[in-house]
Amino acid sequence: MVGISYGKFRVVLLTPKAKLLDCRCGSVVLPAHDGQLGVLRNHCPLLSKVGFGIMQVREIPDRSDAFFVINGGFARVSENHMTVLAYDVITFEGKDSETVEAMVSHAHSVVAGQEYIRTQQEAIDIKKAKFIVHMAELASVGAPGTSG
Amino acid sequence: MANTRNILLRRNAAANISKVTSTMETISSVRYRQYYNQWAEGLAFYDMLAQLAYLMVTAQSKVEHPLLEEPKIRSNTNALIAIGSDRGLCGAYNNEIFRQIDTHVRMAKRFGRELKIYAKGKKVLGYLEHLRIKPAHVYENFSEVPTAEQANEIGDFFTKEYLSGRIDRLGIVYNRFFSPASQKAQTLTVLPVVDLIDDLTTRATVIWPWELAFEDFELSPSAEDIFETLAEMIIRTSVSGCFLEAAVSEHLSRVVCMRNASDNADDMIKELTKDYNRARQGQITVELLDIVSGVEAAK
Repeated sequence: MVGISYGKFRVVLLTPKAKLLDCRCGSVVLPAHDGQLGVLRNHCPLLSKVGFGIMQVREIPDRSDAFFVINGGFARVSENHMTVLAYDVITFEGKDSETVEAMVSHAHSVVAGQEYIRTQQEAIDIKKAKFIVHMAELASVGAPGTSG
Repeated sequence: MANTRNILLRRNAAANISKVTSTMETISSVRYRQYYNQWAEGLAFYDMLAQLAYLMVTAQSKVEHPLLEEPKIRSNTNALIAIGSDRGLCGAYNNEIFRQIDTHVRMAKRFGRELKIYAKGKKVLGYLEHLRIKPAHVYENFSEVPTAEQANEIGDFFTKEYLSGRIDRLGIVYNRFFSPASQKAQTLTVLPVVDLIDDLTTRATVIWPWELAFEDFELSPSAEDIFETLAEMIIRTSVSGCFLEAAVSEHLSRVVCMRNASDNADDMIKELTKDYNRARQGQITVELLDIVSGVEAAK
C-alpha cells in the first residue's frame, strides 16, 4: 500500500450492551446502507447509515482480523477515528471454540433449511445465517464436517 | 425487668428479620451488580449517540424533519411514563416518583391539559388508584427491564403518537442513576426530540465538544434520512435506558435499606442478648435467695 492511505487508524464498535472492539487497524470494510464501504487511513469525514452484512476489520496489530455480522446503525469517520454504532451484532470474538462451532453449525443447518424454529431467542433468519456462514469462512473457523 | 421468655421471643423475631433482610440484600446486590454492568457498558454507546445528534442539530445546513419542528400545542395532551417498583422495602425510592407524578397532575390541572399516564410497577399503580387516576396503559409484559424489541415497540408507539399529533410531549418519570453515590427522581423529556438531545448532550460523560472540530463531513444518505434513523435510535435507546437506570436505582436503594435493616436487627439482637443474660442472672439470684432463705427458715 502506498500514498497517504498507508498506516493505521482507530476503530471502535459500540452496541448498547458492550464495546465490542477498540483497536488500531489497517482497513475496515463495512456494509453501508447502499453497498460495501471501504475505509483506510486519512478517509474524509463521513457519517453513514449502516446496512446488514459483514464488517471486516483487517491488519490489526498482534492479532488476527476481526469480523462482525451487523444489522443497522451508524458509522462515523473523523480524524482517523472510526466509530460504528450498531444495535444488532453477531461475532465470534471472545467466544470459545465450542460455542463458535455450535453457532456455525446452527447457521449451516438454517441455510440448508433443516432447522425449525425452537424458541424466539434461538431463531435466526436465513439471511443472518448466510452471513454467519460467510463470516466463518472469512475467519476460517467452524467444523467443516458440520456444513450442510 | 421483662421476663426471660419474652426477651427470647423478641430476640428470635429480630434474628428472623435479620435473616430475611440480609437475604433480600444479597439478592438485590446481585441484581444491582448485573444491571450496573449493563448500564456501564452502554455508556459509550449513549455518548456517541449524543455526539451524532449534536452534530446533526448544530449543522450549518438545517435539517428539515417533523421531529425537529418547534413544539406546538396541537392535542392538548401530554404523555407520561411513570416507572416505579413492584415491591417495597426500598426506602424513599417510590415516594420520590409519587412526588413527581403529583407535580405533573397538578400542573396538568392548572394549565387545563390532559395527562395520559403509562404506568410500570405495582407501587405506581397503587398510587394512581389512590389518586383515582386510570392509567392509559400498564406495562406488564416485562418484569424490570424491557428487551430491545419491547423497548423499540414502546419508543415507536410514542413517536407515532407524537407525529400524528395525538400527544404534544412525552416525559419519563424515573429514578435516574448518576453514580452509585447519587440517584435522583426526575422527568426526562423524550419528545420533542430536541429537548432529549439537549439532555443527552449534557449527560454525556465526556466533555466532548472539545474533540468536535467543526469540519465538513459527507452524509450518506441525506441528512433527513440519517436524522430520522438517528432520532428513532435515540428515542428507543432512551426508553430502554430509563427502565435500566430505574432498575439499577431500585436495587441499589434496596441494598442500602436492607443493609441498614440488617445492621439494626443485629444491634437489637446484641442488646436483647445482654438483657436476656441480665434477666437470667437475676432469676438465678432470686432462686438462690429463695433456697437459702428456705433453708434458714427450716433450721
